[in-house]
Amino acid sequence: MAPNFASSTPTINAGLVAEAQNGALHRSFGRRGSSSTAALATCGSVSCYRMPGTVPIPSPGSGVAGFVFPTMNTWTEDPCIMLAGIEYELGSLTVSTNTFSAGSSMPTETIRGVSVQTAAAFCFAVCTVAVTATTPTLTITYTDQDGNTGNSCAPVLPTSPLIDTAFFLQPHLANGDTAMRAVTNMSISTGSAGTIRVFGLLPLTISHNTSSQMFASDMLGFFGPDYISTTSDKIAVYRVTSATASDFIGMYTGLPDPT
Amino acid sequence: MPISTLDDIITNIAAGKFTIAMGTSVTTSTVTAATTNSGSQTLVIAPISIGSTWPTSMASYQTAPALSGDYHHLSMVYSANASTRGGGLARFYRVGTLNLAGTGNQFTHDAATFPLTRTIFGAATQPIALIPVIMLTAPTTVTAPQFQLQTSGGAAGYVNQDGTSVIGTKNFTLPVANVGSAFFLRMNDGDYACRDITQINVSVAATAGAADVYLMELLADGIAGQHVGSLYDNVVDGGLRLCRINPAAATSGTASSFLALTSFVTSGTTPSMISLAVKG
Repeated sequence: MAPNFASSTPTINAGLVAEAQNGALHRSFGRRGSSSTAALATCGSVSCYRMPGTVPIPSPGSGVAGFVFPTMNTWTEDPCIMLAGIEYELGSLTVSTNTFSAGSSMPTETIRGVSVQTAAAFCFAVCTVAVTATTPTLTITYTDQDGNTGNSCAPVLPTSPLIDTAFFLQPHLANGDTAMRAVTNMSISTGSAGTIRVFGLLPLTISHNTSSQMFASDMLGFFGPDYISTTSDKIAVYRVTSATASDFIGMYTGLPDPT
Repeated sequence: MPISTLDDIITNIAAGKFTIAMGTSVTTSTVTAATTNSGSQTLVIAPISIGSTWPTSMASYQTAPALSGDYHHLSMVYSANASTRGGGLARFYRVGTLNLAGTGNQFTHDAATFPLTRTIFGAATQPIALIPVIMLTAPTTVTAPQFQLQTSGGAAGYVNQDGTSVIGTKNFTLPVANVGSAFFLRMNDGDYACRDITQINVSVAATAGAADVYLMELLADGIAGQHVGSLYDNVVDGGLRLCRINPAAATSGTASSFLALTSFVTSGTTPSMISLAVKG
């Protein structure tokens, strides 16, 4: 049996062999971030912004199932917390017609040899097209972390939030819930334009940055699951705790996970 | 699944069974420093900015709503966004209010009955003892008030970590302080924590002044960096028992509480943090 990071006893030798044979994946990328609309107590209590564009995972070589990202070095222009994760679009809403479109569900991952149905505690409602609406109530029906269907959350958004403004949804889930596996419906109380998408993240790195300083992220430390990122995955980056426009540079190293 | 191993923690995180508290605190003003007769340690309590009016209306850092069961605090990144300082994350349970403008018994206990309780190492409904703190909601003027944790008749004024009712003998001299200044209350020698405060005798009154009285449950502390978020790892630094981010229960009624960042210097700050706690 080939050694595998996803096994319950990953070995250092397996990692070194994989890296020697296939090479570590090094990627740097930058984004120019804009201002976002500040959050309210009714929509997350923390100002968030989804950096435009996602970082695709390249196709790995033969013998490699995907990549594990143990850390990321990040720099931002202004003080904030940066969150990077594998992103899944769970659903979207066209505001003008109040029409919902289903997305994907959170995936099943093998974590330490155990198959786990993941759920997104980091779940955001993002205005991917600027919204025109006066303090709208956004209602999201979802499947929770335990597989229960039909729960809903209803954050009240600020008037006409700017493009790429993200609203943190966890504080507004149903009592006792912590995450979403899937979104089954979305609707909005009022609005004439815009698109709102619900994204769920499997967190890879969480870091805090301040101006001109680079921070090697390891907040998740040894608590962080070793998600194996594959070709179809995309890494998204969110700025949290700040609505101020700020540029971003990230550099990550992905370790190949052998098949 | 209930966690008993590191693999359980990692699995629960992958399954989304964890809560996140994150945000930016209010910009606090400069507070009055403590002295040897007023707790010996300066304290600033900084609640989340959105929803708070410091220091009179303290909104809590939000978690997932109505957490069911225990959520164990794992780690936190915390930046002072100001000069580097000691500080951390704590939950403040309000015990009652203190009038500093009158003498005698001037403490009014909130309706909830203490002690607060948690499940400790599998034993349910165990009393917990926390750190007593006051924070001025109205500034003291003219005279520095003095008080002791006892009744005006000399009877017990607090319950210590062992559940013993204690006549507080240490005299607390509050400096003339601006609103928002916070101080650690003085207990008797040998006591290090408090289950409840039952009365406070103000022996010297100020012309004006009032305070909220809290019991502080410390979840994470360390050094908040100026230019970098400091990482606090509760598994390594939390000792034998991971702190719980979900509120403790009052013996009866509901004790109001809020999560806030703290710092231990007088100058104002606008700290920010992100904190993770996994379902137990």
